[in-house]
Amino acid sequence: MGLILEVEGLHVDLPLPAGRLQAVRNVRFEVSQGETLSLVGESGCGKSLTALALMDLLPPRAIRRAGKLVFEGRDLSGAAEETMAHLRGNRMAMIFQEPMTSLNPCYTIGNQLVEAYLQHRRASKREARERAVFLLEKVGITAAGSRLKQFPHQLSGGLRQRIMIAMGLMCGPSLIIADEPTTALDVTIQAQILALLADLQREFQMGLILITHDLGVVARVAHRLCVMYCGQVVETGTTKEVFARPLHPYTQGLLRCIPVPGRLEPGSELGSIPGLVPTPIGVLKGCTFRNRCPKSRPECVVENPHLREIGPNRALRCLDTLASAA
Amino acid sequence: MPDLVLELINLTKTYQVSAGAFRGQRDLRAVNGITLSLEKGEVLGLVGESGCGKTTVAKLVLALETPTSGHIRLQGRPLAECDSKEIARQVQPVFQDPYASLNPRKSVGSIISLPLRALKVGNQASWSKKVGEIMEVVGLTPRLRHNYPNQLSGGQRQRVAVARALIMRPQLVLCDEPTSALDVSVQAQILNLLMRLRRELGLTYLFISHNLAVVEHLATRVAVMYLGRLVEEAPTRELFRNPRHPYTQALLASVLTPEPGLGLPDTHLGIAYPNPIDPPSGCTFHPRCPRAAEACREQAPVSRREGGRLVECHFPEEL
Amino acid sequence: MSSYISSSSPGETGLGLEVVFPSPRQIMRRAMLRHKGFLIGLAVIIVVTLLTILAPVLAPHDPYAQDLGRRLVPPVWQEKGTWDHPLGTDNLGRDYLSRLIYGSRVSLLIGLSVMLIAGLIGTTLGLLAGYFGGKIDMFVSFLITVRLALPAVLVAVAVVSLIGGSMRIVILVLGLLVWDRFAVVIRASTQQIRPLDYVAAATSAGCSTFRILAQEILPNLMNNLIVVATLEVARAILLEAALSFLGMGVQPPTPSWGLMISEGKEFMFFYPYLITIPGVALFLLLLGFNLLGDGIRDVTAPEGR
Repeated sequence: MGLILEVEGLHVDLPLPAGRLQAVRNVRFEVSQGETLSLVGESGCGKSLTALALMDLLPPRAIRRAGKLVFEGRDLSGAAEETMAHLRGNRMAMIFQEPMTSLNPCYTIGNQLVEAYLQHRRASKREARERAVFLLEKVGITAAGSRLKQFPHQLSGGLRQRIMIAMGLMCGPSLIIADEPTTALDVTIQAQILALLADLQREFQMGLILITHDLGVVARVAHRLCVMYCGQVVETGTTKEVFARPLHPYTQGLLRCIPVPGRLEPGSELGSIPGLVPTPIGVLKGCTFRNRCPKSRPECVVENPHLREIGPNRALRCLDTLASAA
Repeated sequence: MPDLVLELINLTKTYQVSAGAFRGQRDLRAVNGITLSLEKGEVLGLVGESGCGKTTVAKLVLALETPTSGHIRLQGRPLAECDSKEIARQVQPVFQDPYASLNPRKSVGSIISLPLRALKVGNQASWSKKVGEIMEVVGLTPRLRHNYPNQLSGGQRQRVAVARALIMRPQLVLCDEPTSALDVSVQAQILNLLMRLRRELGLTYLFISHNLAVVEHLATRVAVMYLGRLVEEAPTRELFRNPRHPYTQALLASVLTPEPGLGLPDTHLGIAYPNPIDPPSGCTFHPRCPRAAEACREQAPVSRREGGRLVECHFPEEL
Repeated sequence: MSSYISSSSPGETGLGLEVVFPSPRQIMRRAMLRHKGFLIGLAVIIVVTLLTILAPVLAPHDPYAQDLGRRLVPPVWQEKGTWDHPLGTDNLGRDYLSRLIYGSRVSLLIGLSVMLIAGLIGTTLGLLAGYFGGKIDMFVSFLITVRLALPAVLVAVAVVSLIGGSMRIVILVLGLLVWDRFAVVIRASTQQIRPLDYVAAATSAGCSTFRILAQEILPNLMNNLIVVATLEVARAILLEAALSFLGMGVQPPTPSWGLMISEGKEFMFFYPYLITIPGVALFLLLLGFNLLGDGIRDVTAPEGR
């Protein structure tokens, strides 16, 4: 199981009138072949920007810095746009949240799938179309041939997302980045799409970075996860480990917030995390979670906690030594 | 005789939509004969996915649309006979999108006091006092009343929406996916707020959502909609323990709880997603139903009510 | 299933840093002060407005006073020019600078009045069409189509030639003709705002339709409305100049820039300043309004969320 992606020291800054917003701070993670890594967090934590940073698709004003950004053995931290353009859609593909707007309404499905392929491969239109049909069938779309002639608006959200997945696979990438791929879909379709992604990932031995806010999705689909808060990774580990023993107070808080049928007394109070997510602008000293943390100590105000390895595949960013020593 | 806050009797709403260029108009039955009632103090969870018609039900109850047929009764009085101001006193909404539900050009204080001003209740001084009070009740610092929506977070905006809904102490609060667009931690705060307010102020909620876990936590009774029809209705605990309709079973199975190791459920639903303009024959769920038989394709099932539960299926799960 | 919304608090960093997010008005004010086109346009209009208001003080001579002994005196920068008449005199010996200054009154007065009348008509029609839809929308759209099919200048010319020309008639005729852009823009904007939840919430709160149109929808249209209004002032000024040029607008001896160009055209080849001076003035005023309108549109354009 080779390493497809290694990221270290990833920073993304957004200059705002009020100051420099440090949207992504010192993010570190790695993805292997055939593995699903989930970047989990609420909005504003920087997970989507991290994904865009990997593909170098950040908004023009954003500034990206990376200590290490190694993809398939190549360091991309200083890569030119040409190099990135060659990789996007080819070796690494991205699937977005809104299937309604990710597909161009003016072109047929077939047109868009074929274009995705011919962009990076010297092949005839017929070969491209054959591959499109092959992949549409792989993603579970029947009568694939006739679907090629349809336009996006003629299809439901679930079908469109399957087509997005097929489009991502056209050139056989080694890494797929899926940003909230099922958030805009119905609940009964969600499980199907996630199962599809998992199957395809196993079959083609791709790495999958799954970005989501839904801990339920993470639990059922991901092998490993990185919990992000305010631009930083605060906890990493295998899914089983983190859910069985969440160590960071934020992770613990998140898990308490989620209503699980049958677990809580109906009508009782849900656990919640008091306060609001701070805006990381200016000089940031101390732990960014301290104002909302039940375990907050005086040291948390002054010391910046580092992401420390506390076991194989387990890391934690917290000064609460009792928890990390346990 | 129970105190019925809301009654829907055979409610239907049909829209005319164009079926494409040069193909004229087709009927879209968004709501197709719904019968429901809501007692005082209850929380009725109305669940369903896109195209099921729950948003249309919300619009009909708020009198933003008029039914094509059927009746709605608020506190026993037919909705059609009430004028907009009477309705405003009885029912208030909390909408899904905290960005779109507040007028960006008005201050928070002005937004919250809108029902008071529109219904001409009290005067300037009493408005100010009531706004301050309700803001504290929903957990907002009263100083925020001079701010504008763009200066508030999503959770704060939703609290403003709740404050606006409650300032007139309505009989019924209609929540249309009030937390779906919020972060998990904020969602928990707002849900706790809604539960606390229900206890303290004796409110009745019609809670529309697609999130079954939230509904299970909040609702006393659940009604499941599919393509404009009510396919199952039961007290919450019973519905979640013993769902009878195959669609309800699939919905429940689809809830992804944060429990690793359980993998992904197979809902056995297939990918034939229905088009509301052209619904399937007989039982509209039959193309996706794992238990579908010949009868299901030919004949629409009849609703059966027994022991406080309702189910509309030819082959419902036995209890 | 809507897109995900940030829970970030704009007001606190929670880290001891108070980040104050400005109100919509403050955001706009800051953007305005940075926009060059807006500032230039505003400057031009302020200057012209001052000219208009202070005309009696600033004009060196009476714009109607003829002096046949001093006809066609060229402006001061040509030989034979004199500081007594910095912009020269016209063929009846009237001081050109004074006529130019008083002419700005005509342009601005007509421009603003027409904009107000057309704005009232167009906004009302647009609001009703956008809000109610259905038959009302069909009727208003029909009116707009008919109006667009008629060339404004020709209709104005026809009407004026039937009833005669004067400032009042020009204002009325133009006002009743140029409301189309208002109606189209306001209708489209109203249609966008109509389905938003805060309108539904206002209806549920018991607001009357009038209150919703005036208090909930109109304030959110103001940005578009102001942009269209400034551009329509420019259009009205140009139309008035065209009508006066054709002799179908303001009647002599009233100083109007269009009329001045018309009266000067006979002497165009020997005394080009007779048409270039009012021409440039017109150009600058129109440019000013256009820059202002564009500036307002840029400044109030929604940038993300």
